[in-house]
Amino acid sequence: MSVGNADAFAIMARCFSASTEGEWSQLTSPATWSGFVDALRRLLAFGVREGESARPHPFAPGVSLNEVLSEGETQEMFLPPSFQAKATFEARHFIGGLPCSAMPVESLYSSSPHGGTENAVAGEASLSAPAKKAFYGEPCAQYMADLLGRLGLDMPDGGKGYPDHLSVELDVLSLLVGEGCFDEAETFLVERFAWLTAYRKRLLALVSDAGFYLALVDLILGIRAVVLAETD
Amino acid sequence: MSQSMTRRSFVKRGTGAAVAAAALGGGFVSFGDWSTAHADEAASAEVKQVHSLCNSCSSKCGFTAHVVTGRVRTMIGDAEHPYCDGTLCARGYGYADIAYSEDRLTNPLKRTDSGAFEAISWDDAIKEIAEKIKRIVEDDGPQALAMIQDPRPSGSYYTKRFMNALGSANVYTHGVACNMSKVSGTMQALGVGDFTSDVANANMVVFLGRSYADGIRPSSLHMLKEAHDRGVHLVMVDPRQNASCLYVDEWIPIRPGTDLAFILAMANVLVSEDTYDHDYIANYTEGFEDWAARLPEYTPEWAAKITGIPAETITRLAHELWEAAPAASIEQGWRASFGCSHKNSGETARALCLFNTLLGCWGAEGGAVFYPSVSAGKLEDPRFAAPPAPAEKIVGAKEFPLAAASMGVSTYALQQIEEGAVKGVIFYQSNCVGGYSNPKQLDEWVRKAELSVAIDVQMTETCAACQYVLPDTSYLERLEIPEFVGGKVPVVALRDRVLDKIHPETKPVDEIFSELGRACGVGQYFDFTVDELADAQLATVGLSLAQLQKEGIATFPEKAYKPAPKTTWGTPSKKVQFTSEACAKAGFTPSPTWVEPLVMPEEGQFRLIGGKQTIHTHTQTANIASLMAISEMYGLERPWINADVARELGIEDGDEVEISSDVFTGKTRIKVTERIEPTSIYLPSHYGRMIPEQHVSYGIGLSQMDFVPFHIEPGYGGTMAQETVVTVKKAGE
Repeated sequence: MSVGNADAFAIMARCFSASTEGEWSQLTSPATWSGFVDALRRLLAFGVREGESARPHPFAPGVSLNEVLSEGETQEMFLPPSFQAKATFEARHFIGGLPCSAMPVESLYSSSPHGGTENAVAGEASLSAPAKKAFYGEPCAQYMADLLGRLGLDMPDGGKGYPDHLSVELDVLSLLVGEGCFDEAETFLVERFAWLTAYRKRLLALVSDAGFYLALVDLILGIRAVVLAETD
Repeated sequence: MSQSMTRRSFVKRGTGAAVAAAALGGGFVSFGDWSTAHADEAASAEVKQVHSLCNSCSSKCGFTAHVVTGRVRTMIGDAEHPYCDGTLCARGYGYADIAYSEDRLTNPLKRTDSGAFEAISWDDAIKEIAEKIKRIVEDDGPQALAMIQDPRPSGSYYTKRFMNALGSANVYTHGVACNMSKVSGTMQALGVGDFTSDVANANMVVFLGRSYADGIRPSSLHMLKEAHDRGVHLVMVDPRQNASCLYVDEWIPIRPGTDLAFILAMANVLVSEDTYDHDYIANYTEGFEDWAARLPEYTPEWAAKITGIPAETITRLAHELWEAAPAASIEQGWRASFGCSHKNSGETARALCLFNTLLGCWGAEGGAVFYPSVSAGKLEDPRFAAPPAPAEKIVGAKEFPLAAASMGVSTYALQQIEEGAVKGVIFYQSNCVGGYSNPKQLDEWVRKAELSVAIDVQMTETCAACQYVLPDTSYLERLEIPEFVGGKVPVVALRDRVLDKIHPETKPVDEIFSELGRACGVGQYFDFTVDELADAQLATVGLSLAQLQKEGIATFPEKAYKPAPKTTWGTPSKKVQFTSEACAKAGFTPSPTWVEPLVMPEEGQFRLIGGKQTIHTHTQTANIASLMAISEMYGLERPWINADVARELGIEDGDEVEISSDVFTGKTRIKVTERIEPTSIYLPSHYGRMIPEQHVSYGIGLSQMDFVPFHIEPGYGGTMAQETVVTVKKAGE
């Protein structure tokens, strides 16, 4: 089954958010998943543009799946987790306040020079505060909330606290690509996903197996590197 | 394919929205452009003002939050609030960070067989907890359940209502580790738990270990400064030279646990010299002769040996207080001195009240006064009707008959888990395990309970010991019922919703206990919203919720304090009671006499004392980055040792030392100072947190309570937080 670039980002968004068993079964069916992996290969080779907007690639900076993923990660990508394994991982790691928390929320990994708020009290990471402390609702979250509104998009109730959740960012990217807004998509991809380098370290530190999610993060970073090279 | 994927998108398209049109039409902005524009917009954005109450300590000072684009820009202490007097303290500003902290609990958690926590849905959490509660009530009765909460406006109401609805009287506060012995001893003498020294208008005030500048209510510190500027004779009697000593005339070092001897000796001076208020004693007290007959043995010379205070100083202070009376008093004290510290804490509070009675200072301007308060009236709407009163008294009432029933002996309730009398325990905003007594022991008991639930904003030692953890909203995200506060001018103040809910799966206390109530079959007591309850309570004093949301605070000037001698009391005799039948039944002498502390340091040993610092509230604020940064900058986590003693032990300032008690050994850097008397080691009570989920506080310093064995003050129920001796040596020797 053919999976477009926009759909590939939408599938990645679902990987980082809760889904029903039926939804996950459908996404991970062999036909859909192999189409998804093909789309990832294409994104790594040619970036996010499709059709007439696709950049000519006489000196294509693209990379292959094997260059981005380790051998183990490649295997993870070809064999996605079962619904139960995914749900368990989310219940242990995609929540806040635990030693093994790894909430995929940009604010917790961004290094904003402004700290938490505009010269604010609540949430402010003061200059004297240790760098190890992170806060929700950093400027990147405010930006995302604002952007969603500007694009006429709305968050479901369950996600309203995290406009800078990786799922949301991937979904916005998917919509921009799907609507052919490639310049905007590239800007968004380059600006928004740099934090995944720090998030990758967090996933690596988890005791339990985060290989599937590490692979996804490496793929996003790989696609970003391709786009960055193209736009440079 | 594309269409089906879009339908699966996490984000939703608004009605009629077209992403392409919006993006290409200027809807999409880069982060860089947005940041520039946002900075300009924020500077001129509308400022919304919302009134709330601080949550960094139990004082709950009123403040007005200035909110810009959904974020708190600043907080201004409310001028009319009796506790803050227009000023928030450092911890009040710092604690606001909790709202956006990375350590916030975001989902209901359940401990799995592996011992780790996993998220579960609210529906499952409520259902499972309710099933266990119902089973415990059915099998063992409602008294097999205990609720431990750190009182806040809504928390106090909903936790009690929930437990009473189930038929249980077992609602406990943090009192055992705070001021319960002080309150309970004062109750025995006066029939009321608190009084206020009119410091600003006094001629002289003696403080016994209570430091307004450390355990801070800003208004108290303002009053202290005003008194200092006025030339009031202020004396601080404390093992350590605390932060309030900036404003007092003299610091009198005293050995910990011996305040009672100091008071008894000063009383002896006044009574033996016949310098006391005879008229007041004759007309408004009972049992004076009993105490007068017991006092002669407590000479200043006797007390000097126990307290370390020279006899002539004790005599002088007694004389000076009498000369200053009635505009003079011994201040009531709080946690660090005899709120819960020693075996004699309750009796120390009782003796203190009786000494003040000798001065005739009750109700006198500049003496010891009682500020008026206002409370909500009876609510007529049947939805708010109280559940029937529980048939039995709170567990621990029989064993600790002098303990204030409004606080209860929570540590005894946990001990009853081991005995099988208590099967389930729920904690609301209470880090009981981390600080109410020996953490290891409390942890062990909580883990043995058939049901254990903690409700909090971040993982704590208590949460870590429980089976279920329910995520609370932060205080900035919820409306609570009105808080009635006594003062020179009593007020009612409101904690309103300053911020929108940050984490979608968190819930405020009113929702949690209403849902649990419905699931437990007592939903008829929770058939209202907190907004409706708040409005109904305010209506009884001629106000509305909308009005208080707008104004934040309402005053009751017609109830304002007016100085007048206090001549009627809430005791059984309606008089100040020099003798107490209840105390006698509990094993004490009818009027207070010397009670030895449980332990006394021998050669080479020290008494470990605790106490607050200006920027922290025990474990509550330890995980706040901006406050802990101050601690780390100045080494505030270090315990104090007397400079002469350190020299003898070969310890220098900043050395790593090993401190050991019978139950714990820990290493840390130490502060060598002249500001502590030689038999004490002072360990600030905020550090030594061992919860890795708390990114900031984890592993910094040592915890005072780790060194203290589990025990309970006879009769009064306090945790005896300073009844332990330690040895100190340079690490590695």
